[in-house]
Amino acid sequence: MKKNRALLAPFVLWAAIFIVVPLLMIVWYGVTVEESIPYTEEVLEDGATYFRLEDGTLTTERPQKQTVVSLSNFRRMLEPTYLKLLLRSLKIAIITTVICLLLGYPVALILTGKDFKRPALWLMLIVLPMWMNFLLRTYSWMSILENSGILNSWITALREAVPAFDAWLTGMGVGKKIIFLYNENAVILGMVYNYLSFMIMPIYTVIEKIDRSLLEAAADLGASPRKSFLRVTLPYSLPGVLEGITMVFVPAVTTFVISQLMGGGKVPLIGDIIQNQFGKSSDWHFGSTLSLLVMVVVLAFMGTLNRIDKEEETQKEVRIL
Amino acid sequence: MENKTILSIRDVKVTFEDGFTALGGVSIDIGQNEFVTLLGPSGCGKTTLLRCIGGFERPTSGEILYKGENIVPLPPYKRAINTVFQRYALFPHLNVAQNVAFGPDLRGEDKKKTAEEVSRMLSLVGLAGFEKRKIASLSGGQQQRVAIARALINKPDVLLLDEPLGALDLKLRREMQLELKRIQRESGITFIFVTHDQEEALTMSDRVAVMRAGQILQLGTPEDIYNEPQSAFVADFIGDSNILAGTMVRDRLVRFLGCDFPCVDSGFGESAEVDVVLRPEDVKLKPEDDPVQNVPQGVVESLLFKGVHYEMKVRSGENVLLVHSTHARGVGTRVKLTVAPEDIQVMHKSDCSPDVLKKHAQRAM
Repeated sequence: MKKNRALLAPFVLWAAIFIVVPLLMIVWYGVTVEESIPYTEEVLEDGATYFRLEDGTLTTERPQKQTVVSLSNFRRMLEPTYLKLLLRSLKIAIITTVICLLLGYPVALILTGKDFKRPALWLMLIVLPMWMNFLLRTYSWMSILENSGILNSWITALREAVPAFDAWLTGMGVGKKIIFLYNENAVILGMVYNYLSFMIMPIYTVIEKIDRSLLEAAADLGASPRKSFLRVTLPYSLPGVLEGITMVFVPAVTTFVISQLMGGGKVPLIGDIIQNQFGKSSDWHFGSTLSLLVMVVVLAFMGTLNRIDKEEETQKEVRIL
Repeated sequence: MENKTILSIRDVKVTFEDGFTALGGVSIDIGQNEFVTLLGPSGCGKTTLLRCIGGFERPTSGEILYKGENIVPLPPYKRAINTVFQRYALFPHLNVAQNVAFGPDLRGEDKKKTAEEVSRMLSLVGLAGFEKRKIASLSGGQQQRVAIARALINKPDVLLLDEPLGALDLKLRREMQLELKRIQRESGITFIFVTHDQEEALTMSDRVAVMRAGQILQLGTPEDIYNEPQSAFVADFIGDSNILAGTMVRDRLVRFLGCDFPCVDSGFGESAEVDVVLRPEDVKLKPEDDPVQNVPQGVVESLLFKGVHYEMKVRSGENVLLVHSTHARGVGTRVKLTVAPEDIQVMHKSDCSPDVLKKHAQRAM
């Protein structure tokens, strides 16, 4: 046992330096602000510059900004502007998660089917795009969707070839170029595309592990394929579903790249604002406060999921009795 | 067969995708309330046949008639047949009562009635009061009984059991064999039981089908199978046996171990090469000075005490015979070997004959 503990040391060190310390720093930054001390600049008879503070004292050194503990950033955080951003982030993340679940579950189910040939190959094809650079993938979506992009040029070509289609589109009030990019839908598309495989993988792994004889037993006892799905496959795959939801929801709520690229800055999310505070605005304190807010939301979300997982376990036992 | 036929398997063939023939045309009629065992080594097709009856495997050709109706096109959930699976396949997320109630619940039966029926089934399999226990907390034997209760509660006409006792220790196995036999008699259900354990097959069954390489080699009562094996494979598979190369001198006279023996078999033709099966308990050892004439002589090579009897290996010329006797003879004792005519089982040569097997072994070397 002692030997095993020693093996843990590198990880503990790693976690301390790169997880615990930064976390504490964020907390510290979050609850403090930079306050500048008011002063006036005076040039006295000797030609030197002095700085007069509010209480009248003179110093030769320019007074530095002071870090003081303050909850003012928390107050600022609760302003409608930021709460709206948080709500929009949550909304987009939830929509993304639901779409990923609706698309991913059937895929996982089909891939684990008894008669499905070569599931490993298909799984690899699903994961393969994820090996390419994330930015590259998102940029390629942009080149497909932009106003002079591939999709629009195809639609234009189709309109020219089929006048009826053109008339129909015009009748629907669609302009010459369809604007796909730089709106919420584009951001959601970018997220679904980037996170879908994180939904498929855990669900696939769980369903794949279900003992096939359990499904046979259910069929033997009179369960049609639909009922056997509802009574065996679905309850068994729930842990995978919960894991998939976490794997999609958490990055979706915190991302900033996708909203910047696909949203073109028109759909700012909470992640964008945080990134902004550490970048352009260089207000690390407010950025940290917002980070803490997102962290609390994510933790609350995962806590709820965990409880669902546990309740499901106990409920399953109660249901029939 | 005294009973009405409930299940009729007609020339069922199963060829897997890789071209392997798991069943090469099997036919068998099974009667109401009959206990039929499919017996054979692994890979003989016994489980495949069971899965065809249950609906989990679709025969490449052939028919399975249940009460006169071909059920091959029916999916498992539409068959009035239930299965006890090899590793039980209990639902680990449900407790004992929920597992047993799975079938009635699916049919939407009254909860209260189901709960009573579950308790009745659990006491039938000796698990009264186990309703709320978790599956993971049960022993192998208890799980097996839950699996039986879960199948029986649906009141199937036919119950399929796929090596259900395989995971149990010997003592529990024996108990469960008796238990299963009792349940089968009391419930009046037809049992089709798959096992590779010949003792189990002989103990429990009304009839035994010995299978090999996708074929039923012999179908009969346990006594028939044991006493009158029709091939060297059956003789070898069922119990201990001595299989010797012999020649049919003429009807009712067979020659092996260098001597002529009167026997009860006929119709093989003169000078036909045959296999002779002698059960170890049927070979009698006489002292060297016994007056009996024209019998093979041998030397005891080993002696083991087995509780009820002694097990001896006796060398006679090239052959070593296994002999069971309540009378011990020391190693090195010279003996005479005798066999009663009705204890000699003469069979046609097959690819399991000792000389054929020897040739295979030599080729392999």
